[in-house]
Amino acid sequence: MAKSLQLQFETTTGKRLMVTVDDPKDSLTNTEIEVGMEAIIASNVFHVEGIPLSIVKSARVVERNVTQII
Amino acid sequence: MANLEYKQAVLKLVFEGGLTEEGKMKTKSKSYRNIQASASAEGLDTVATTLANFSNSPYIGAEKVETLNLI
Repeated sequence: MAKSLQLQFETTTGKRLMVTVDDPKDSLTNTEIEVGMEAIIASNVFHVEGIPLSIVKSARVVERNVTQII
Repeated sequence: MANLEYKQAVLKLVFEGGLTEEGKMKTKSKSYRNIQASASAEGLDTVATTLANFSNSPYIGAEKVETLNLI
């Protein structure tokens, strides 16, 4: 079972950017994730078509189940 | 006349990825696109350590990889 944490950001112009983290810690709290995402926005590292990120849109953990048949 | 023109930058995080059969350490990496050319080292480090801290994988380090077009 593969888990990933999907962090969704949005720019002032409404463009979205998803940043994913593989194998996230189960112990992560909502606050830790939100503080981390705010720090990522403040660092001014990511952009979408030249526009920096401005808000935290969402964060979710996605689990993928693969069953081998053959 | 040839020129190098900036194309894109990628932030690459490097993690420990277990051992090979010979007992040598393997690494696995995760790359993030949409990185500003002008991103500061401080900012890149914040992003790298924040994302690494969200994961169970043991973090080794990060690289900024720039691609230039030769035109």
